[in-house]
Amino acid sequence: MAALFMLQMVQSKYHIISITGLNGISKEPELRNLTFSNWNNGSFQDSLNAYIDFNFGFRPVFVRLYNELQYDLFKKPHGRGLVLGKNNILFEKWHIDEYLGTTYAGEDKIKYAVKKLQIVRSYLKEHNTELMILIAPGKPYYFPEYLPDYYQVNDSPNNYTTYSKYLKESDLPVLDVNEWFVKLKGQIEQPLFTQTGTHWSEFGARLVADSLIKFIEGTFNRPMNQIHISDTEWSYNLRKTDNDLEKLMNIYSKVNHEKAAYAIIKKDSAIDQKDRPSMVVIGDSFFWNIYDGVLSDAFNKISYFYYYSTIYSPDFKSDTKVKDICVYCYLEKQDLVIMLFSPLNLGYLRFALIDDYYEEVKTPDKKVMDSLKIIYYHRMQQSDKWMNLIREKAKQRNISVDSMMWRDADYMAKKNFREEIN
Amino acid sequence: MVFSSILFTLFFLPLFLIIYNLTPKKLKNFTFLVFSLIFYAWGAPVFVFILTASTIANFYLVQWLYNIDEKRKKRLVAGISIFINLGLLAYFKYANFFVENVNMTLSALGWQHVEWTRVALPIGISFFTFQSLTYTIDVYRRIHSPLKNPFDYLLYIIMFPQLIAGPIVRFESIADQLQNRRETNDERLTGFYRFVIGLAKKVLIADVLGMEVNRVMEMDFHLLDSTTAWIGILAYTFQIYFDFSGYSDMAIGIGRMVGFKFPENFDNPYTAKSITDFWRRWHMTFTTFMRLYLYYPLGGNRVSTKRRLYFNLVFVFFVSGLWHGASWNFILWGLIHGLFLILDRVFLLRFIKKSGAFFGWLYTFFVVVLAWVPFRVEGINNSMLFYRKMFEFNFSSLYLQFIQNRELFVILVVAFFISILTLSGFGTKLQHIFYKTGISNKQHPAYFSVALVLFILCIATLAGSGFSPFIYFRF
Repeated sequence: MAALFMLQMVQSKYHIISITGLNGISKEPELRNLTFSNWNNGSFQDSLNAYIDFNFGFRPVFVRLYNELQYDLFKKPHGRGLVLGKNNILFEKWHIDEYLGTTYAGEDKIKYAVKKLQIVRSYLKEHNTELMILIAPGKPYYFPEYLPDYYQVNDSPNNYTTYSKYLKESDLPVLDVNEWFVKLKGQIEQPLFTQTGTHWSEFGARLVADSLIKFIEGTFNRPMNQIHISDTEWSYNLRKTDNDLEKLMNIYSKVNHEKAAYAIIKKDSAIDQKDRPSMVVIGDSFFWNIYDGVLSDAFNKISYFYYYSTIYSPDFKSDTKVKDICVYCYLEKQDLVIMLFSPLNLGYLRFALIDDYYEEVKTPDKKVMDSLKIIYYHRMQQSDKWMNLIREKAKQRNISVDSMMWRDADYMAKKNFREEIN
Repeated sequence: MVFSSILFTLFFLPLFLIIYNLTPKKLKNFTFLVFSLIFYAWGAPVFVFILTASTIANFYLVQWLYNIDEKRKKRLVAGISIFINLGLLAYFKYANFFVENVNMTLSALGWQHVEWTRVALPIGISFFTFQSLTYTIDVYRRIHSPLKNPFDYLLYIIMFPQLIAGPIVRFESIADQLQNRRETNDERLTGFYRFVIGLAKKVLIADVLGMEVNRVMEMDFHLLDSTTAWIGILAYTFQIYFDFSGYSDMAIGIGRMVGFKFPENFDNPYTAKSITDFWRRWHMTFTTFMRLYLYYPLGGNRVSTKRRLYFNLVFVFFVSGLWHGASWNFILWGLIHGLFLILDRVFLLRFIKKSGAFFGWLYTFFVVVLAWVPFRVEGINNSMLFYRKMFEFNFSSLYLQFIQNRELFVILVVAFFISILTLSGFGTKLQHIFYKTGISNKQHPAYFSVALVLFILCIATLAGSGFSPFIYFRF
């Protein structure tokens, strides 16, 4: 035991034996300072426990051993949300939940979100910026027959079916890749999802890139440099995101899987860079395997607002966040905005761009808003019921009654204004 | 600090063993004491001072008690010592419960509540209070003379292997070992094997079952079906056994590594063929304490009437239930067992003898499982609802639950078979092999290899079960 102690202490400090790290994202715990207060309230002890759990020597070896045993003995893949379906097909639990309608937002909210997106589209069109929606595919839609038996599939509505319905009824340009992939399955040899990836396969992504260019050309009447899939390479060695779920399992053995297809691409470059459109993609992780250069000859610039949070763009420093920029100021200068989300993340359509629209675009000038606030402030003073509510809220927030009145007045002014817009 | 953590198994314990073994014999107890104080202060940074002060005070009280000749004065001083120990327990463990019940009564009468700030429960208080009591009472009864050194006494009370979850070590059984104990490589290795068995029971079985138990117990019981209810309570039946006996094994193992021989705490309780038999096998150090320090002073079996005998049994089990936790649920659990002990004496033991060993085992297991319901489920009403759900006999979800969680079912079956292994002769032999002491040099390599493999599996489980990465950043 003492020998084990010494060995793992030396390893954790000096990493004498080279060990491959674990795949996946987990936050390294912060070690708190040893002070009387931190000891007394237990925060030092908890932080040291978590720190040691994360950093002890040979940890990756032990984690992989545990994961391997769990998989071999119980067919239980370890990794946040991993579900092993039939035929060794890996799913993420939250994609399944969406498919089954467990996370359904409700028809009214979705209908309302689509209406607001139409308003956003009209605004952007005034500035010669096009907006379109691309619905990425969900793996449970593509492989429903491989879901584990304990998932009881029924006819309950889900976010995808409702969004798809209302988006298509609207005037928003929509490329529904989810529907397209399901239709294409079985018609082409190349798999559009791999057994071990959560996103469209690399081949599927190339197909989407090709289709996206054609869709843009056709819908917005804009000539584009095309990409062509000239050939397919087959391989058991999966590349990039084709086995991201398998990597997350962190096991020693390999999951049995079929060959994956890799497209050999030819790109046109007839249209000069200056004549190519600029694009902003607001999307989830599905865009990553298109944002790897395959579209570089079709667009003059691509900016990626990852989950409408972090920006990847030649126009901004790395680590720039969406909340730190004037979103509409930037979008107005682009040719195309694509909102690209898989069924799981269609909820982003309810707030991405929309909240900023009201903040940045539709907030009237300061004089108007100040006048509205004063009106509401006076109305509060004349209502006993309202003032009682204000006093209670002020007490809870530990602020003065007057400050609370101005806060409420500000809220009422903005709400009143938004209702006018709607 | 829990035994089943990376911090304890790969850092605290090895560091303690290294330093302890390098320390000269004269200072070993002091080293052990320092590490025990750190261990306790880790979880109870403030209470460690109260514990230390009350323990030192009790040491001097009992020293004085030992030197008193006059019977009345001796009894008074013993009474003061017992009062201080039980007083601390009563305050920290039962004051909240007492005030809650007073306030409930006052509410029912339409009177104003008593204002009260809830008191935090210091870890291990039930165990070290009982150990403290055995010290006072064993010295009072002149079973053993008191310790000469207050630090040795503090060590006896606070030594970390058995501080949190027992076994309850009576002073008389350990007094001589505090001054004089045998530490050999053979004992160290045997201790290590025992520790690993305990760790495996806790990490590979109890914790796995515990996850399912928590899931079931957090559900709305109105939505439970019989499958889920039975799986939940069976999982708990084995979780509590493997957790508790695992901790005892670890405590006994660590004790052995430093030369202490702690008493056994479990003897295959789920092979019991009556409730009477169950209590000879379950938490044996606790039953011994209750028998010697409560049941016998009440008269035990040697009372003049059956009514008094039954009262003694009910009272002892009322106190047993209360000792386990400050709530009516634990009292109910204790009373269920008390009732069946009475029934054993009235007719059940004779009936079981006639019906055969298998029937005796089956009925005992069934009663014990049912009694665990109020022990685990919060609230009497919820316990009754849980019982109702168990006996609705709706098992339609059994197959779906099995395919969704194969690991649980495998561990349940493994736990069941390990628990009843010694019902067969083969099982008893196997147990002797695993728990063997006096292992020869030729046999140590085999034992060490198995222990090492188990130890690695446990560390892997501790490391892996806490690791749940995201696939990508989501911000």
